[in-house]
Amino acid sequence: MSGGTRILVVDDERPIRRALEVTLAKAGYTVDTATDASEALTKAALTPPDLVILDLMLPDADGADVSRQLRDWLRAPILLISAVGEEGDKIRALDAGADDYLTKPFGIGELLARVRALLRRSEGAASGEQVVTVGDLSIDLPHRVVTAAGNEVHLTPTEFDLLKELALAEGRPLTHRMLLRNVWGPGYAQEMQLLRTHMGRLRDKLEENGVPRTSIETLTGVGYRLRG
Amino acid sequence: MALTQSDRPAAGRRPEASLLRTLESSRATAPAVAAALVLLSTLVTALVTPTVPYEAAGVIYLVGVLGVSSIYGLWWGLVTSVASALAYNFFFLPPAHTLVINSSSDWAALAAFVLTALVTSNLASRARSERDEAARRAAEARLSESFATLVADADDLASVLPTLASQAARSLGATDGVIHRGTPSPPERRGAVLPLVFNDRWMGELRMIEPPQGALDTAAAERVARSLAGLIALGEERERRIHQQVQAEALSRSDELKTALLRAVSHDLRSPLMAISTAAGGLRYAGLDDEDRELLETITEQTGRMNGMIENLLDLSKLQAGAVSTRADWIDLRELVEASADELARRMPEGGAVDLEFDADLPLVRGDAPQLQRVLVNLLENARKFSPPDQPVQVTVRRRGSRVDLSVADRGPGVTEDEAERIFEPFYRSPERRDVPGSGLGLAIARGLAEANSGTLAVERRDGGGSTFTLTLPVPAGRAR
Repeated sequence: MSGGTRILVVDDERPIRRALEVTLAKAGYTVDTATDASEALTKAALTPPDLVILDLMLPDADGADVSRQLRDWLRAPILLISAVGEEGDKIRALDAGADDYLTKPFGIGELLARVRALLRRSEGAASGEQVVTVGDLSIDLPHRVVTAAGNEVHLTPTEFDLLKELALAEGRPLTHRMLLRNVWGPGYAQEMQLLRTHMGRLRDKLEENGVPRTSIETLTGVGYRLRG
Repeated sequence: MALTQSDRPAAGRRPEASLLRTLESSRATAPAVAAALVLLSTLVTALVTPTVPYEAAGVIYLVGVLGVSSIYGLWWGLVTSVASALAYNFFFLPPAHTLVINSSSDWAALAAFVLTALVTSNLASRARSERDEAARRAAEARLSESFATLVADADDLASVLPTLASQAARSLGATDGVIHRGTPSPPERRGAVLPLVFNDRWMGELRMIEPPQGALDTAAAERVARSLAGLIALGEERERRIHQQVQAEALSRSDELKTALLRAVSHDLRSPLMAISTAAGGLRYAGLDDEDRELLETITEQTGRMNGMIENLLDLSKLQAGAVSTRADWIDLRELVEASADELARRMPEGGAVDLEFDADLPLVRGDAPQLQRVLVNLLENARKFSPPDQPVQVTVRRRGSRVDLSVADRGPGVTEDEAERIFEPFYRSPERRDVPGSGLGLAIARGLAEANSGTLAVERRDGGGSTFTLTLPVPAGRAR
């Protein structure tokens, strides 16, 4: 298996770490493990992984700090594992550079699907596609034109920018903060009213053109993601 | 703070003023000093009259008048003026050694002298009382400052009261004093007792030991009393604040403890489940036969169920411990309801339809979105469980003036009138529907979370059978979309 895709699993609980290790190995990945943040950083530096699975609650650091430190020099995607009720920590870790999250307890099928999606995106990163297609939806970035099943959807510039951000994230979750900062500007990170209102109108317009409202998934308390 | 003599305003601070102060302190010396000064003026005048005309030499007496009135005040000044006039007339105005005045110019000289003496003594005594007043104010300011420092530095008010009383009483001329804070003294003791009143509140009284003879300087006493009363009120207020702060800190520590404990318990309970479900998931590559696969399915399914129950129990404990903290932000209700329906579809994939209906132009509301989603998912789950599979659950969101109603209506068996409140009690299960699985916690948690977000949750019978659960949330004033 050596030389295959390398995954670093960081979790302080041995049974969980071991179960993930065995399962991922059986699925064909090369697996490294670390029990805390400092071991994770050392191992990632010695043998850079292709993906990191990171428990949000580590004994020596929180997920946001580890994500930020890894993100400084590591391009590999970071998948967070969090428990219910840790929305605040989850958001901070996502803002700090983590790519996606799973909430415990999750099925192995769900985990493997997330891992595959993250790896696929990181391999095809910087493809520089000009037209993003999601289901029936086609978003022409340079011409700022959105079509649903061939019909043009008329969006305001803000609605287009929102959709563009979601499309460029390729199914990764975007926190409220990221969307507000990227679409409206750094001074608007707390203006949730703006985001809620424009998101509602964007969904209305997509729905009028036959695209289900739930194509933009609501990650309650966290943000949004475009369903592939 | 040690009390020193220099804090006493009656004692001289500046050495050069000490002679004056000593003279002032006993009025008994006034006649002697006046007489001595008149005599001295007469001698000096006698010495200078050979060279100075006697009409002009009268000015010398004014020095004495000035001296006496500035030391002993207006009345002794006037007495000295009269004595000086008589002496001047007797010794120097011709005919000498009589009190007879012959010439009109001598009358004029005497009249001018008396007038000047009167004005002089008046001015001098006024200057004196102004000086005294200024000194008293300065002393009081020093006293107030020392009071304030004492109160500010003290750990508690009771420990500084003796020093305050002592300083205040001495400033008013008593030997010592005590501040008494029980009940006011009977009226007959009033002379030696200064009531301390702040904003019409009786803060206590200053009881003076060996108070000065005669009446107290009432204006000064009033000022000292006011300042003392104010400081006692301030000290009391400070003690009350400190007490409140200590209580609040203790309360927040116990809340933090509860939250930390619940978090630890939730982690400890969920971790083994997480390990079981991950390990079970790993077995899917183990080449199992159908029966093994079924067993594995049971493990996965039941761990999920157990996780749900632990979640519910923890939520209920948090609500009952008052350890639920809400993070309010703006919420789009349509989005919240759609996300909740989505979540229900994930949890009960074969559950049946949910119809959604929204008023146009719903306002944004404020609340903790994950908590309110929990309320809605619990209501939807409950409705779906009790409704026949072919009957859709109806969700309606309506604006009603300053609030919004989110109704979840089912076609289940409905609730009886006496059940309407009991179904929100933890662990309550309808006796007729024991066959429906559940822990009896969903509605209790839903109501607790609704209330934690300033909302209400109630149930009523639905026309045509079934129940309607309504979550009502306030619309923030003036911020509606």
